[in-house]
This record gives sequence, structure tokens and C-alpha cells, in this order.
Amino acid sequence: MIDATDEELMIRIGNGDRVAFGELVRRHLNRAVAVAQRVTGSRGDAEEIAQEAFLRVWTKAPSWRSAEGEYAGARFTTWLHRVVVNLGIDRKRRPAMSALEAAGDPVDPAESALRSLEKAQLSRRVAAAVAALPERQRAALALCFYEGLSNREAADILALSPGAVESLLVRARRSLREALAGVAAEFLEVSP
Amino acid sequence: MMIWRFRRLIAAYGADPARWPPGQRVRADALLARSVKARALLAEARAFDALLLADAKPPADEPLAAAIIARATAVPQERAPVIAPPRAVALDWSLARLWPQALGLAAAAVLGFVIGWTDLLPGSVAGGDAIDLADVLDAGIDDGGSLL
Repeated sequence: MIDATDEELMIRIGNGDRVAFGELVRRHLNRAVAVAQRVTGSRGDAEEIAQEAFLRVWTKAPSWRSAEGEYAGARFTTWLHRVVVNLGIDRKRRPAMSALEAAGDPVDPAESALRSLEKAQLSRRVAAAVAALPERQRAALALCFYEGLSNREAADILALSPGAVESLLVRARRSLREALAGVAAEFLEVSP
Repeated sequence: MMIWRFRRLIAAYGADPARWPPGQRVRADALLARSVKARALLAEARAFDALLLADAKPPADEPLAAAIIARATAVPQERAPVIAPPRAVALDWSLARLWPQALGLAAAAVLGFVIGWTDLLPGSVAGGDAIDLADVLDAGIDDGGSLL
């Protein structure tokens, strides 16, 4: 592991340092894929978006500090997540090439088959409810609730005020409460 | 913090104080310490958070990271075109190229000096009298004529 900030790594990547690029990819890949998956509702799309986002990191690294326009002066994580969210929203707006994946996420073999199935079903229902949210509510929820970014960071990424992000979160959670009202009781039985 | 604000806080960010805006945690904690209603709202939000977190996403695996790195680094990086500063005009200060100009400049200086020197000397004008500009002007006015 390289002991350097993201911004220091970007400077090295701008000079063609592949090791620094590998470090940055491994540092941020999980979160980039997770955010993209919540925005698009598809793991396959999320992995493609992560590939595209990191390709941009590599190719634009020589000039990212001096980039003009929406990325000027941004922190690396803000820059990356903005790319991921925008790619995710663009992908989601396209005519549906792949619906929300029916297969769902892999189940843990250590759990009993029935319990794993219940948890997988629950996970899919929550994912479907999240996927049905309007795109900006979905993005705000992915960034703040699921990925733990502050509302100020999310505001920078979404080019909104912190107050507007808070409003998106309130509306998102209210919609999810309504959509998942019937699921709550099942969940309490399933959860340990 | 008022209860309505606390209600909105957890309606937006959920029950985990780590997700709350830093400036509001202390006031929210103070409210929780004194309000049964706030604690009930927090417990309800905690259960809903757990439901939402049932949709956990598996971490990206190493093969994906390796594929991303391999694919990206096979592409050339975009380097901004280097704008060359305007080239300074090369000045050739060699004597071999400058002597005609220097000679011409010296000749002009000598000629100018000679002309100036002779004009300034009293009696240099024919008749032995220096021309007084005031006389000329007076003469023109007296004749009613034009100086032009």
C-alpha cells in the first residue's frame, strides 16, 4: 500500500505511474461500483461504469488539476463520484438493455438455504424499491446513506446545496418507507 | 434542537449519528438525553436503517480491479497540447553584419554636427548678420503680407 493522498497519487498517475494508478483503483473501486450499482440497479452496468470512470482517471490524470469547468479544483473523490453518478444516470436513462438483475447478489453458503433465500429476496425487494426512486434521490441516498459521504460532499458531487441534498434524502426515505411498508414485518422475522 | 428538527434529521440521514451533519450531533444528543419522544423516533429510524442495509452490495473483486488497471493503462494518456511560447526574434549582434549600419549612423551624426555647428556661428549667413526671427516676423506684418 502506498502512503499517499489521492491527490498525490493523481500527480504520479499524470506522469504515467501505473503502480500509483493500481493503488488508486483498489482504494476506490468498491465504493465506485456500489454507488454505480445503486444508481443503475445493475451490477453489470455498475462494473462497466467503474471501468469507464477509472479509464477517465488514467487518461485525464495529466491535466485533471488544471481541468476547467465542473471539475475545477475538486477533490479526487468528488471528481470520481461525480463521474460515476453522471455515467450511472446516463446509463439509467437509456432504453432498458438489462433490467434489474433477476439473479441478485450471491448468497453466503455458510447460512442455511432457506434463510439465505429469504435474505436474498429481501435484498432484492429493497434494491427494487431504491431503483424505483427518481434518479437524484437515488444518487443522494447512495452517496450519503449507503456510502457514508457527508451531505456537503454529496452536494458537491451532485452540484446542489446541502439543504437540497437533505430534501432529496427526506423524500427518498419517505418513498422507501411507503414502498417497503409490507416488508418490514418480514424483515424483523428474518433478521437475527 | 427542537423535536421537529430532530425528526427531519433522522428522516434524512437515518439513526446513525455518524451520518448526521457534524454541527448538529451535539444538539441532537442533548435532545435525546432529555426527550423520550426523540429516543422513540431514533429507535424507529434504526429499524428502518437495518431494513435498507439488507441490500448490501458485495465488494468488487480483485479480478475486476486487475482488468480495469490493464485496460486503462493500455490507453495513452491525454496530454494537453503544449503551447510553445512565441519565439524571440533572434538578434544578430555580430560586427560583420552591423558595420554598414554603424558607418551610416556615424556619417549622419558627423553631417548633422557640421550643419548645426555652421548654422549656429554668428556671421555664417551671407551679409555677416545673423537673421533674427523677430525681425522677419515684424517685416511680414508690416508689409501686410503673409508669412506663408
